[in-house]
Amino acid sequence: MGELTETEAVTSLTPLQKTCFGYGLSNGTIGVYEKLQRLWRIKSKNKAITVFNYDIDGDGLDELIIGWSNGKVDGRNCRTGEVVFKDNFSSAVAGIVAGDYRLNGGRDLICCSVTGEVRGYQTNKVLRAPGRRVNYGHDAVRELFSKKQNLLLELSNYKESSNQAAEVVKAKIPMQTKLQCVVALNEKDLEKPHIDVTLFTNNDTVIRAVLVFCEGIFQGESHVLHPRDWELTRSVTVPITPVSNIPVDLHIKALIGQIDSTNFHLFELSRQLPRFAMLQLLKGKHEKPKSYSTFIVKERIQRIILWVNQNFLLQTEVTLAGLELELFFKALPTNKLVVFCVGSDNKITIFCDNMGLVGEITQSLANFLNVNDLEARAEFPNVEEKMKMLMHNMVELNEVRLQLSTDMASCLDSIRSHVIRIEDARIIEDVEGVLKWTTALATCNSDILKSYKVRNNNHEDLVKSLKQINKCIEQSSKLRVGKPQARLVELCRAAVKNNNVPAILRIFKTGIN
Amino acid sequence: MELVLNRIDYSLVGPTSRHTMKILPNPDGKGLQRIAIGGHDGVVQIFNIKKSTLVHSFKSLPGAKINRLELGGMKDHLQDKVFIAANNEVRGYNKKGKLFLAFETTLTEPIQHMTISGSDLMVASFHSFQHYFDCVEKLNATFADKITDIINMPSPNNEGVRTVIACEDRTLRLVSEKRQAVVVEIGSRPSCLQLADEEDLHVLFGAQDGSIGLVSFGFNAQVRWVLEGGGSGCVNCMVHFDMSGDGQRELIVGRDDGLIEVFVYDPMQELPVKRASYACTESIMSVQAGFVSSPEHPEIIAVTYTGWFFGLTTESKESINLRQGDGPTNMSSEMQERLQQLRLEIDEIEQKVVREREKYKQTTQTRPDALSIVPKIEINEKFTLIPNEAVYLLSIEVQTPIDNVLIQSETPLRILDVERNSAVVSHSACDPEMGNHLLVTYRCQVNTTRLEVKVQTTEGQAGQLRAYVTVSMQPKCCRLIKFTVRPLSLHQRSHDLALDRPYNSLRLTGAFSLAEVHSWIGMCVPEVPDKVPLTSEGVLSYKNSFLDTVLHCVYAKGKAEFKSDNMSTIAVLKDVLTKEATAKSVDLDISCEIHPESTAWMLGLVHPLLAKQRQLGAENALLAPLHELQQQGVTLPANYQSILDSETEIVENMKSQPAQLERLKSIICDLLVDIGKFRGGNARGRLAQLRDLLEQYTHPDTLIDFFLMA
Repeated sequence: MGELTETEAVTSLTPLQKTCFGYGLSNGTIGVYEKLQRLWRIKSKNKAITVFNYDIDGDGLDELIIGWSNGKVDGRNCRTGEVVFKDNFSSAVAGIVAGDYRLNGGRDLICCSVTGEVRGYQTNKVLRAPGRRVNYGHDAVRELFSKKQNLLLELSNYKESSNQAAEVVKAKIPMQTKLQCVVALNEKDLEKPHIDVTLFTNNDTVIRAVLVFCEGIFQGESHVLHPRDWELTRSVTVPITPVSNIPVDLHIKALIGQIDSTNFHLFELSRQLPRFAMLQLLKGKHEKPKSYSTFIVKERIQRIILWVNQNFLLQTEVTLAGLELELFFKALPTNKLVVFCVGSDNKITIFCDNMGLVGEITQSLANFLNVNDLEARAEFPNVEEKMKMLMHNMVELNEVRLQLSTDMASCLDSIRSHVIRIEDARIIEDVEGVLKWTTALATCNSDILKSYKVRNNNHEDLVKSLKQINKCIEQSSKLRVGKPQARLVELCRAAVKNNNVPAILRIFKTGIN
Repeated sequence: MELVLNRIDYSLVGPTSRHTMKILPNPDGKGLQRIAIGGHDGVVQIFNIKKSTLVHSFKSLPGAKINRLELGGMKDHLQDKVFIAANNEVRGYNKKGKLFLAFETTLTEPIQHMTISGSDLMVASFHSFQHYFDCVEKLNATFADKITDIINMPSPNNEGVRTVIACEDRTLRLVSEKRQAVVVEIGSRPSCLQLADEEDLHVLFGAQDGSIGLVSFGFNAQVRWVLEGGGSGCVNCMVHFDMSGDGQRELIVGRDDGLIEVFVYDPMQELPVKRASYACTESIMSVQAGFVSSPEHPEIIAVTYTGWFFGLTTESKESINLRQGDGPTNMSSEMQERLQQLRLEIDEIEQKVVREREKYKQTTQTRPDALSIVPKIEINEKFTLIPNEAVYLLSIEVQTPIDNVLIQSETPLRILDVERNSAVVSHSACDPEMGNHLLVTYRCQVNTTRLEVKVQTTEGQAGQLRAYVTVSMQPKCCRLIKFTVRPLSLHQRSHDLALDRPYNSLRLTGAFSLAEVHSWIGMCVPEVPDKVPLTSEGVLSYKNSFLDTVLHCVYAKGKAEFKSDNMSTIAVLKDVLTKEATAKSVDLDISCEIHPESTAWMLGLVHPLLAKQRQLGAENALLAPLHELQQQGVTLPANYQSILDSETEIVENMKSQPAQLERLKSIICDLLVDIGKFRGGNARGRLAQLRDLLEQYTHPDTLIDFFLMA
């Protein structure tokens, strides 16, 4: 249907009315999507433990109810994110549900905190009244006053700025100062190849510090560069390592001034890193990897070149020489070779040992070209080998599981009989008998414990293999788009169920059985 | 009786200093009272409030920043003249705004504090105090420590005016022209003064750590009572008024962290009792009370740092809304008119701003030589030690909303988040090799003008802490503020001599001047007066707020002596002083003396702290299992039940002081190393053993034995 990528692990989801849903992330962000469009999001320093849907203000639309780690409960309008309802618990919220717990036919909201406090709420129409805030007029006045003061301050700043005789010389920078930015792949650092974002000014002003705000690629939400006092120059390089092949938005704030300034100008800059920024374009020809996926796209080659220029980090734009295109890339940090070929017959072939990466490239290209359905032929010997092995493992593990189950059943049987015998012995006061059967029972018990552990390990291995099999199927499906993609998943599932390895491999190759 | 306070916003008057707003008394004591405010822009305005809008009777032209506004008048007459202090000048206006006095004092620095009674005018800058009678100088005094407030005492029998001066060295001094000064020592740094009652020589002081106390300068000058602050902010201003109408005056307090509190004096209780409080998000610079918007309902009025002028009235919300015509359903024509008026004003300014913005843009493009100047951002910043917790509180307040704050430190520190903050914190990876031990960004939510951060320092590790404050105003700009973390950062000035402790001592002799040694000490410990001692010998006493150990410094030209019961303190001092002296190429003769019992004494001091932390940790670990037992219906023995009963306290303590146990352990380890150094050995090899010992710590004797073994 669709796939969305958020900046952090998604911790909670809730359906809202019609086509909307709310979500919460582990970094304290909450938000609402309508279909695949994000309506709003808000980040807080606390974490959203749970999100829920409930119509707290009785307007017929569900609000997003959020339970926070600091004990707050908010109700937010699902369209705008505006807070319509608030409550506070003394400790973190544990869960939120709704139900007719008073048996009056209504659906009431119930919140529970980690210390066991439970509160119930019902729909309250008062919240919706147009001037529900008692200080409606006052709030408006307050807002207007602060706006006025901010504007006046800005005005006085311009006046001061045009007054060249102002006494603070150090805070002056030429008006034509500009901040420039160059993004390049740094492959010299062999241990940890990364992308260098180099910022520099166009005159002798220096960059005091750089703050880069970006979700998902740093430890927190920001990364700071603060050179030592004597190392200040007009340029600063920020190393960035994208975690996966997703386009990232960098919001850069640079503090610019003179060497000994205490006041700085703030220059802001937004830059998007292309999706495949970590793929480095190589010069010359290289030997192509054995694995490949090939498909046909009815599209002018110029459009494909446009896609290449937008989605890869290139020093100079790629242009067409002749009717065919052949590009060699090195995927960092794994150093795997990726070859992207476009033939004159609209045939595109991507060579790479990493099927996942090929899938991502295919998806991105298809998305760019608005291709609805795409069939592909794929040859990935390493994946096939892996699949064979995994399937084989699974069969073995399943056999072991069966064996263990029967063992356990027989063990259970003897336990039952042992227990009865102990009971009998107790009734007829046969002390020796009790001892004997108890010892036997203990042996049985330790046996069953042991076999339980084995079973447990076996189960874990099985789950692991299944996960990997599913991952392979998903990656293989990503080589196709639209109907063929969905069909592949279906076919493969059926084949896995029947344990039909040749069929799986055939589907992987051709997309059909 | 409950006191309910409802906020009414009146205006935004622009940034103000402390004590720059007063309510004028009415001649007949009836009707609405006028208000006088002086701002940073130098404007003095006198107005009253009609239907929550300001009706000015006078507004002066902009000028130098007004630091203080006081009321005065002829003796035994109505005190309705307004006096303001700006630069080193004092100006007097009558209530109609007529200027009747403009007088330049001989102070070389701007006047910070002022108090007036009759024809007596007292002014003070940072260090000097002057007394004028009819504009003729009567008295002049200089103090080494910063003056934080002054106030005149009533003089019922014409003895001449006496003034109380609050100084940062934790003293209140009663000075007068004729008599010798009376000095009262108090426990914390005073921040403001308020007369307690008209007859007796009682004065209230508010302090930096949030405490409030009463000092009597009567027959036996001493502190009568102190109400501990309990973690609340510095007291900025206080006033007395009968809010409840029971004939008893209440004490109204405005604090740095935005809290306004009302205390009642209960004759049955020794200390005043808190009756009501209101939390605002900006620091309160002045607070007053009277009848300003309604003749029936007493009202507290306050001005914040950014200039919000608002009232807290005892009138009920419904009644206010009815009067002002503000409500959910019917917004009256007056309210709408007021809104309309404001919108018009804003539109006008907005247009101007757009024009200027365009002009600015054009200049950037057309004139290559043009320079752009960053507007100076006024920041109200504080970096003060909270003694009970032994952490520093860093507070930053700006006139305009803050966009983000970057905190950078070149020395190892730990940043503790303050619950009140709503900003999103992000710790950035940093490399100590590159001079960054800490890089933290605080991205503020909209309309935040104040940010608080707690900083935990370690003694012996000194350096600079920087905060880059970026405001969300066009053109975007940022200001750097620097704070110094001194090597003995957890020490605070004290009057407690504690003579009976086993002191280690450090003696320095050499060819240095008094000023030099004074500045060296200033590099080691906080709260050293800016000025060199006025006598030939300087004496400073300190207490370590974390461990309660003591440091005494006695220094003069050519010699200095330091005494402390904590060996580590002496070691840090020795390091810093020798480094400084070498840098200045002064030859120092250093001698050290270790008191044999000091180690045992010091470990004895640490013991209760360590034991408490261990107990806290153990109890905290027990909480979950005990809960489980309780749920299963097991009757718990009394001692375990008591742990469960004090659960909130335990959790609270664990939360507020993370890693306190680690902090104590590392202090003991440092002590071992430092003692080893003085004995001429290296004790680092024994650290692992010490750590093991600390893990199973129960009694100080085991540690003392270990320390003595070497």
